[in-house]
Amino acid sequence: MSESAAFRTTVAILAWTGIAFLVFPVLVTALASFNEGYFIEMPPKALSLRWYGAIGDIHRIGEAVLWSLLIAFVAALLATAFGLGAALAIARHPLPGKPAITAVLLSPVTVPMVAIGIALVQYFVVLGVAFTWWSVAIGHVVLVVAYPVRTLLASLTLTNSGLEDAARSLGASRWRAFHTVTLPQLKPGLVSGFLFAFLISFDNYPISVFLVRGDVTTMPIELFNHISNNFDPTPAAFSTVYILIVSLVICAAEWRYRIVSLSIPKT
Amino acid sequence: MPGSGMDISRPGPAAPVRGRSAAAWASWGPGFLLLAPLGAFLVVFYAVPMAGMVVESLGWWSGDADVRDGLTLNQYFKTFDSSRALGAILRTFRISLITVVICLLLSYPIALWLIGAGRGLRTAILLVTFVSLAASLIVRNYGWLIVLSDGGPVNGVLIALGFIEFPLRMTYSEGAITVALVHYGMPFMILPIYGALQRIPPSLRDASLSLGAGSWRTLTRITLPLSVPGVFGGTILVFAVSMSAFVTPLMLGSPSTAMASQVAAEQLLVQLNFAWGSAIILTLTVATLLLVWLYARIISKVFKIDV
Amino acid sequence: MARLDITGVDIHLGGRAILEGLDLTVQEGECLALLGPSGCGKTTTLRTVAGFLRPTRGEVSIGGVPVARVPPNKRNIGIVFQDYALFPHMTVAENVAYGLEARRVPPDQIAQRVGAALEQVRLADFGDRRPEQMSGGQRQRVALARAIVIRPDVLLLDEPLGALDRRLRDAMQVELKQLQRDVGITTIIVTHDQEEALSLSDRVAVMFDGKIEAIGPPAQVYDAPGSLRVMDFLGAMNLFEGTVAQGRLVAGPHRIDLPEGVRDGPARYGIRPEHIELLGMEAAGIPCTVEELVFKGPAVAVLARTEDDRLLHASLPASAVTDAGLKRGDPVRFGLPPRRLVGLTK
Repeated sequence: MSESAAFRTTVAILAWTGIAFLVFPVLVTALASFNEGYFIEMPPKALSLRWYGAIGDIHRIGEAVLWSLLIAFVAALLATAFGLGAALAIARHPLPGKPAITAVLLSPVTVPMVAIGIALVQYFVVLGVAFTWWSVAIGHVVLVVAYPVRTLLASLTLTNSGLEDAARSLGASRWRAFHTVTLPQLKPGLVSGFLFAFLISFDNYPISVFLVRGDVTTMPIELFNHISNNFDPTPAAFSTVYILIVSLVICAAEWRYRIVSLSIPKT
Repeated sequence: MPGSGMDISRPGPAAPVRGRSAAAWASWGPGFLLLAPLGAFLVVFYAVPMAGMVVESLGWWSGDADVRDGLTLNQYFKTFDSSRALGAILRTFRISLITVVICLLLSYPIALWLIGAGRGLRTAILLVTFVSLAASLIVRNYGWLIVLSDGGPVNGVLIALGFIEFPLRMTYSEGAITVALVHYGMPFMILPIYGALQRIPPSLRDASLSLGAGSWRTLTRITLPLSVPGVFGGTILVFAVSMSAFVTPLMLGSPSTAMASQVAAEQLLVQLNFAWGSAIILTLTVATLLLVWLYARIISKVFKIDV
Repeated sequence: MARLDITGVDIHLGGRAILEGLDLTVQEGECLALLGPSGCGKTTTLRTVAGFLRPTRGEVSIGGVPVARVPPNKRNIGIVFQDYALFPHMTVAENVAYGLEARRVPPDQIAQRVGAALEQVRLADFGDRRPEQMSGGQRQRVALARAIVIRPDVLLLDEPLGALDRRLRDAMQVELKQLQRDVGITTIIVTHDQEEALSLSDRVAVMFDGKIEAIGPPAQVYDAPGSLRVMDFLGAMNLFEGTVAQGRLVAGPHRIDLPEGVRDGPARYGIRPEHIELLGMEAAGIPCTVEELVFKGPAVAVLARTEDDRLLHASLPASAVTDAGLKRGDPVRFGLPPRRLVGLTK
């Protein structure tokens, strides 16, 4: 960069202030999780790992995590499958009113999640299938399907549809050409789309809270309940573990599939 | 909205007067087929339920004063009459606006810095941004609960530096909500702006410098104007997300700081007033979409670009 | 306009030495072409003169003033980038005015100078257009106007004709040369295209691996390139390697007459295809068999193989080929005029 040193320094200072702001709560949470005492003190007077052991004591947390894993997995799978078809249609085939179609498909992200939750709970009650785990999954699919669509569209613009044609000219059937030529190139888009759909579903509260009752519960719901009713640092321990796992998964996905560049919006 | 192709200013191509030919319909076949599963799914589980909610909002609640048959706008009048509901909507708007501005001010330098950063550091910070995006909202809000709590680091530093004697109550307030929403929105703001900045050819910056413009002039005359599409995408997204905020005010606010989604949820879960709850949330939804549309028009006019 | 001196410049990028001890002087008002393959360091040299790279050693002086530590916006240079780098959100006039505004020239003067610059590149009525509405050739002229309106000491052109199609390129070659002469600014053109370099410049400097291997007026560099690499880069040639004895080069079975005064010993000579003569079958020359004839309009490329399995490339006038009735498989004799033979070092 040949810009002036004063400029670069100012930008760097402002940028790192923002970055510090971004990571600060996470660092503080991690620190608090090692707090010996029941009430959170900064800096902690004594350190201990007891709250990590207490994670299991969060009411129904084990069940909740399992339900969330199931729901997130199914929701992400469905969202990615639907998203693949939609992305292929938009990127490779002629269709009327594409901007409108794309806008509608991506709109659930901007509609308030509470709206989706309220609308669906009333709908499912009428249909008689309310409060099942898969009704929760369906609610999540509506919300998260936008992510695989977007990452797959980005992935598809990077692929060359001519390659598929070349494969077919060499004798491959349509399906074979697709799954041996195009699909492998879409791996980054599929992986990042699935990953984001999974993580956002796993973490979702506003839709889940309306669609859940009785047997079924999710991790965010139980975590939130615990935080609302208790003041101990157990959630800090849980949060630290959660963030660690998410970080590892995302770093692994980036290292293997280079998902970062795919998810940067190209407007 | 990033990637949503929401260009209000550009109508689609006009169809020929006679209607489309059979060949055109046939060529759309494969496209429609691929789109069908998602389309059907969204119709059954999105469009219809939303429509159902609209109908619900035009109806009555068992606890209403004079229950009648048929459709009515009563729930909507009630929304505008109720100080709680209207107040919540206006408060939501105010908080969202402040959030967007602060978020933009914090995020733009980060995106700018990322452009000039070395590859390793850049990937690292981008990954941090991604983890932020993917990390549980409840976890992040909880983090702010700790940071802003009486025994937390902010109060700790303020007391240590002697600015205050007793801890400031910062949690469960509009301020706390705003801070947490800014934090939530930053990844949504950083990435589109970074994307837009990336697409500016470096030769433009070089050209500006070679012509005698200093770094600041280059920023304001070249970089900033050309990054507007990204700024637009980021601000719309953060605005929409802030308007819909539910978990954050729930965790970091108090009954007097209720935001619109909360009030709607209250009516639903506590009062079991589906009609009014639906009306409130729909009012919020429509208001958000209208404001976003207005924003898009203004940006288009001011910057003479298509967004 | 000012003289440009590059003395002993070192540039290291990513741990590698791109330029080492580079010395180059461009005289006032001169147009110098930096010619070389990609990666040879010519673009690096350009960016160093512009100020985007700082040399770890050595100095760059413009008009005698050392500027190596001066940032690009404080040097008085004009650059035309390879992609023209026109600001897409500004009109043509605003683009051209940009440098003047940065120098805080009063608005009325700006308007007048912008108008004059646009007239000079024959785009007088295009002030309100936007770059996206203009063709490649027009955009280049806007970029030129923008660069010269600020009256730079040095003008830098990065692959100026690269993005243009054939016809436009020929036309722009003439225009560019005239413009440079008229304005009289010290100019450096960076290119990998030898035709561009030879046609536009007063002097050509051929670069390989960060070093200038040949420098001089175009005709001189072309005719007496000095080294194999340079001659090869500047166009096709035929190579003979062997030993000089008694004024002739012994290369395989061939005895080639050399110009006067050549010393005995191992040597290497080359001759351009267009200098090879077609001789009658009785004359003394190099006997070979026509392998391929490629029609090129005014000339024909004749590829012929000698008895020791060399492939010689001659470029003969089409008329001569037709008159001789040459076709594939015919025997021919090639003459190599001694004065056209060029001595080459490695």
